[in-house]
Order: sequence, then structure tokens, then C-alpha cells
Amino acid sequence: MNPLCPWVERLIARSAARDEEIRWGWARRHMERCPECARAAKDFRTIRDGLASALDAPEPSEAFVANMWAAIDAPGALAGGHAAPGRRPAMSALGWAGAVAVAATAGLVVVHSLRREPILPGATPTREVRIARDAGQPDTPVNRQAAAESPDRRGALPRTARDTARPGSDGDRKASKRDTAAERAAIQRMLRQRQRLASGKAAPKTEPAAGRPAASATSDASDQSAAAVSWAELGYYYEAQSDVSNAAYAYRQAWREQGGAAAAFAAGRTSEAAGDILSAVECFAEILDDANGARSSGDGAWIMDSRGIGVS
Amino acid sequence: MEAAMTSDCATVTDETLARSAANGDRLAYSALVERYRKLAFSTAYAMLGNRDDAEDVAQEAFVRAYRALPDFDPRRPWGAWIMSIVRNLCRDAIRRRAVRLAFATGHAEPGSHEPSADGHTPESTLIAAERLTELRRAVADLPDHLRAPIVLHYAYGRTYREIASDLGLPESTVVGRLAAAMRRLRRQFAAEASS
Repeated sequence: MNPLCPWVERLIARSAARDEEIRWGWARRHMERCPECARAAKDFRTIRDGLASALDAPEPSEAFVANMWAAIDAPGALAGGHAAPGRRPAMSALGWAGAVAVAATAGLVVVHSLRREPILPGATPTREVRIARDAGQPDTPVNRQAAAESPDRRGALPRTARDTARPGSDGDRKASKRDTAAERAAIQRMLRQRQRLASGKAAPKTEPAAGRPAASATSDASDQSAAAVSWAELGYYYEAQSDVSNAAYAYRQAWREQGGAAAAFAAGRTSEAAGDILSAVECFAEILDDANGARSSGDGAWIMDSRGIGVS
Repeated sequence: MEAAMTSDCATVTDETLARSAANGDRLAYSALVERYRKLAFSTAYAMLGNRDDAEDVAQEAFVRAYRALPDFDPRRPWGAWIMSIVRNLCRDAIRRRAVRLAFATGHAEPGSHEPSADGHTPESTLIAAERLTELRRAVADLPDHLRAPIVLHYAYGRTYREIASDLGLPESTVVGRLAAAMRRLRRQFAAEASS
């Protein structure tokens, strides 16, 4: 069989369905050479002609309208818009089982969704956000601590076994629980670090001295700011948990404090994912304003890393 | 009197008739049913493949529509509304598996394909009577979504655009399903010929 034959057969079928001759020149030339495709064209013509002859076109009975009015006037018939009496059979046991399963699933989904309270502006934040906020608002760009510790910014938060476990497996679920605890511990550890810095144990922030390597100055600044859990960091944490509502809230806080297109973009992206379109539009409009030079905010030039997190 | 009112109804839009029917004008609703009963029936027949079930479903659709007239939004086309009720009822019927396919029996519906005055049709010279029965049976064996456009197009002569509107599908999908049905019928015939 010529490799073109299956394609030509499809084209012939489509043309036959449209009641027209095949219109592609190359297919017509192929049909002239290929007896199999020529036979296919003949078969389709035969079927098409046969269908017009074989199929019935019955019409509704003369009593159609009268029967309809009788059904409408029947006492108690179709009350509430349900099917005519006697037409719909009782629900089978399988149907009931299916209904129960659907109801149970819906209940689980509702219970699960109630357990995760999204943080919206003005709403009560969850514990992690309260911890971070009560400890003082971060005043540094995103993830300097992570940048100082590891070239991979993802290292700023504990790498979760969820990244490697198969989704949906028991191992994945157990690993997820362990990782959540580990991530909370990491956040608290960073908060403690920040409190230590705030109490004066850390080196004061210094301007880079003349002749001193810029990298060293940056390192000092990073050391000081590393301890803080920034709103952007929290945003990333929540986003990694697929908690876009909390992530959007945290990113918006980061944007309000530090400004910058990257923070606005992250806030807009997660707000959009959370369904808060108004906030998303507000954030994206900020980016456009910045691009037009109408407004400039933020104390550093923000760029996006590979995960869409702003770094300065 | 009634005839005069019915002829008056011929110039009135569906939506106006529906509004009148919602206010209790039975004649207006009868005129609406008269406009759409054939279309509703043919669509139900194409989807279900059984005349009795098609009539029941079409009737039920009009009864439901009558009961739901107070909720009907006259800004929407009434024809599309009634056809969506028909389609939903057909799907319901297919799901309940309460449909017997008359096609499967191989019996033609009464009154169809009578020989012409000269004793034969042009098709009969091409395909023998048994081949027609086989073809009818093959169409009955098609999946519902492939059978409906075939029946509407070849039995009722509906255009692709009309079929798309009847079945609530894009026109390209209708052509694709027709082509798929043709290919399946050809394969089936080839298999029968070889066996």
C-alpha cells in the first residue's frame, strides 16, 4: 500500500460526506494511479447513494399535538417539569450508588476547601503569615538569604520530597506532611535568625567602602537581610504549596513594601490564579505604568529568575 | 376562526408566540409546536434511531417547554431552546438505555422507499435490496454520535449547517462525523464482503 493511501482515503471520505468530488489535484492524480484508492472512491459513492435510499425519514404522527395537550392537561403530570408519568423508570441501585458516591466526594471537597482559609485583603491571615508579620515587616528584597546560602534560590526553602515523589502515591502524601512541618520549621528558624539580627547580634549594615570589592558589600547586606522572611519569600512558599490565595496576598504585600515590576507581576499572576481579577489588573497596570516611566518604585532593579521570583 | 388565527400566527415570531403562550394562549403554543414538531421529531429520531421513542421524546420536550414557558427568556431564540431540550432528553434516553434501535431489526419504517411508478428507483439499480438492508443495519450499529448526522443528512436532507444547529455542534464537526461514519461503514462492508 502506498503511504499516501490512508490520507487519500480520508480525503475521499470527507469529500463524500460533503457530497462533492475530491478537489485536491495530487489526490486525484494518486487515485488515477492507485486502484485501491479508486475502489475506495467507488465504495464511498455507493454508500452515499445507498444511504439516501436506505434510510427512512419518518414523520411525527398526526396525533402528536393532541397527545401533547393530553399530556399537559393530565392531572399531576410533569409537575415541576419532570418527565411524563410512566416514562422515566425508577432509579436503579447502581444509580443510587453513584449518587451517594458523588455526594460523598462533594462533601470531602467542601470540607477540604473549608480547612484552607484563603487570605484576602482585610481577612484574617493564616498562622505562617501572622508569624512573619508579627516579627516585623521585612525590609529587604526577596531571598537574599537563599542567594547567600545557595546559588539555587529554591534552596531558600526546604526542598520538598513532593518534588520527587510520585503524585498521588501514599509516599507522596506522607512526604507532603513531613515537608510541610519541615517548611514551617525552616520559616521559624529564619524568623529567629531575624530576631537575633534585630537584637544587635548581627553586623550592622555598611555602605561599601572605597576600594572594597562590591561583592563583599553585597554579601554583608545579604547577611543582614537574609534572616528576614520577606513577603515575597512567603509568597513563593505558598505558591509552592499551590495555595495561590495566600501567595497572592503575600506577593501583594511584597509589592506594596518594595514595589518593582517583578513583585507586581508575581502578585498579578497569583491574584489571577486565585480568581481575584481586579487585583491582578491593578498589579499588571502597575507594570505598564513602570514601563511607561509614569511611575517608578522599588529601590532596586528587579529581574525575574527562572521561577518567576523577583530578585534584585 | 382557529384557522384564521393559525394563519395569523404564521407571520409572528417564535418569541412573540412563546410570550403569548406563557400568558395562557394555547393557540399560540399550538402554532409553535406545529413549527417545530417535525424538526424536533427528526432530531430525536436521528439520535435515538426509534420512531416511538423519538415521538415520546419530542412530545415530552414540548410538554416540558410549555411548563417552563414562564422561565423562558424571550430575548433568546425559542427554536434553539426547544432543540436543546430535545437533545438533552435524547441523551437522557440513551443513558437510560431504554431505547430499542429499530434499525437493528432491519425493518424499514412503513411508507418509506416505496418503488416509484416505473417499478424501481435509480438506487435500486446500483444496490440490491439486501445491500440496502445491510446498510440500514450498519447505520444502526454506528455509535450515536456518528449515526445522528448520517440520518439527518441522508434521510431528512438537512444541510450541514442545519445539522450543526440541530445537534448543537460546529459545522466542521458535523462534516468530520459524517466522514468518520462513511469510513466506518466502508470498513464494515469490506469486512462483510471478505467474511
